[in-house]
Amino acid sequence: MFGMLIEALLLEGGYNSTIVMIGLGLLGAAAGPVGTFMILKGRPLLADAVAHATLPGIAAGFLIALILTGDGRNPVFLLSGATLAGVAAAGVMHLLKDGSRIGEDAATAATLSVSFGIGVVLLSLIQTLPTAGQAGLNAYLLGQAATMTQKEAWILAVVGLCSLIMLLIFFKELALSAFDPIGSAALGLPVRSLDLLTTALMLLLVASGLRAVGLILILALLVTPAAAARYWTDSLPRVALLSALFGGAGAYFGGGISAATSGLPTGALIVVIMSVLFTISVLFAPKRGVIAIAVRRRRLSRNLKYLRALGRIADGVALAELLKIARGRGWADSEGRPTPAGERAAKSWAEEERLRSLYLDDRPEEASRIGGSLLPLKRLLPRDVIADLERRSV
Amino acid sequence: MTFLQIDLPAISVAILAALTAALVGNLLILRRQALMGDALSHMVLPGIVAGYLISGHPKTWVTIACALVAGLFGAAVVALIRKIGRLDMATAMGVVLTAMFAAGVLMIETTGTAGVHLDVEHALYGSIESVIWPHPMTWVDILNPDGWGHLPEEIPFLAGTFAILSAAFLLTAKEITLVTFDPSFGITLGLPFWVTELAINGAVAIAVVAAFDAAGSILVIAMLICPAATARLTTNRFSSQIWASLFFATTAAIVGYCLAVWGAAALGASSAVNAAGGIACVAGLILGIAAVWRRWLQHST
Repeated sequence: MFGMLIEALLLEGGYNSTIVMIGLGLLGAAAGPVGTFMILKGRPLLADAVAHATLPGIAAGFLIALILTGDGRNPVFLLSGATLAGVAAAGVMHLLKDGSRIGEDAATAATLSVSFGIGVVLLSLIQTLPTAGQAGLNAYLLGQAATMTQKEAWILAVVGLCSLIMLLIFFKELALSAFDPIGSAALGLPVRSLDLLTTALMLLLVASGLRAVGLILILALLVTPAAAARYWTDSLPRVALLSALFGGAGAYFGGGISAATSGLPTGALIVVIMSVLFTISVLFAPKRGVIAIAVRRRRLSRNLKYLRALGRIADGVALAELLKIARGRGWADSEGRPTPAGERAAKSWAEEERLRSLYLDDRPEEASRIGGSLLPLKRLLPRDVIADLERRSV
Repeated sequence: MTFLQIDLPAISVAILAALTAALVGNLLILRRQALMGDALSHMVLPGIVAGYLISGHPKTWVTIACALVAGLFGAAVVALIRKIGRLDMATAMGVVLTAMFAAGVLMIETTGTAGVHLDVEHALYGSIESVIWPHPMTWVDILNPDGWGHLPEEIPFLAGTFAILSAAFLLTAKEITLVTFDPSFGITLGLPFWVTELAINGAVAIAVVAAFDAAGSILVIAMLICPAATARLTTNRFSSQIWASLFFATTAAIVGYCLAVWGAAALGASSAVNAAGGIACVAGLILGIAAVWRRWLQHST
């Protein structure tokens, strides 16, 4: 099995699975940034409702293809049915929410469950028809890349690639309008069209990914890499890039393992890999990670303790205590003379004081707002503001 | 007389599952946490699989306890990610529900339980149609206590759950009303925040787990949300909202089942369609009518 896995990951597992894996990688890479935008817009679970709502569309597409062509398993009909049903669900959700009474959450959950119910009814109807191929429809629930036809694999790869290209072309506009819709409208950006573009990309990715990932878990492709990426950086382009990397890698490796084991559901494997990436991000990311925050909080509380002691010394309580603290930090030797580290600390403290007084002179209102913070000014203020202050002082 | 042996027990299970879900759904609607029901009904899956692996049978107290633990664990992880990880509620739910559902699917596939007693489709669609009560031959037999011992286990179980939850609702009606409308009120009552959260999420998890086994997750999500949302659109008081939601849930269960079983045949289908799906459709239809009615009301005034 291990050998097969290596083979699959190196794209030597056969023509079909190679296209599927490349397609999955592209799809995952495109879904990450789209998910980032959906989270920014405050609608991360829209994809879940849309994905569940595609089931009646798939069933209807199967029935229509059966009537028109005699074979229900026509990926073009199934994909169009899924997309149309997704659009319809998004519309119904919009109509259903009634600001004061029913929130967006209830509208989403109701649309999701009812449209899935319609899909289940249609599927059970199809099951009774005297025709072949209806068993394949179950693959849309949990996804099975191993049984994908070449045509289906190519659709996956083409949609993934096209979405990535669209994202690259319109990234700046999408980012700006997702972050600050009012400001970008004032700049003359077509905010409504950009909003529509994001939703359309989301729909297209969901609909085309169903066959491989399954409609219950496809939500993870949009939400999990985007949420994981958020822990590593504050800049939106970097979050988008990281989410594309996480999404692409998770989908690629999940597809590879699924191809090598030829039985395990692709969607579940992809989601498990992405969830592991997410867990690592939550715990270990520098700055925003849970562990980093805990360490910082401890350091801050220790600093507070020192400052409180210093305050008592300032009140004339005891000079011995000051020496004890300085020795404890390695700032002074046993006879009270400053060590090199102590000199460095004193110097940086003097520098901080100088910056603070400059800041106070220059922007008194802002300075009064952050006055209570114990963090050094260099960590509190953007780099260009510090540089500006330094320049003025010279 | 197949009605008494097949349809009557199936309708009873559908009604009881709908009532149980609709009752706690009222809390979700008012707290604007409707998607928590969706999330919980996915998060219980690994618990059900684990319970099955431990006890070797899909319908035991062990399975139910494991499912409950999985649901509460998931809700706690969501809360934790929200608080320590500083993510918004919806994103945190999306991440946790997909992760846990995927874990459940992989557990089913890798432990060889697939297709034997557990499969994901069954968990999604439910199988109310397979509930049978072989005993009664005539209507009078229903009253005969001899047959009660052979009642399908789903009926007493769901009825018990509904009775317990209803009793809890009646006993703490005042507190529930206050805490639902003003979450911080619980703190002034001396209840820590997490106790209220645990109590409400626990009630939802119990309802989800109890109804899930018989009715499948789709029916559970639809019944958690649709009747309560319909009631919210048509009533103005919390108590009347609860009664209305129970009424809508019962109506949807009966009408949905009848349409799926006999309506489909009347329209020319060769056999009945999925009953859980049919009930969800009817519940959605009732909600849609209520939403249109409210819009029309707003327009005319």
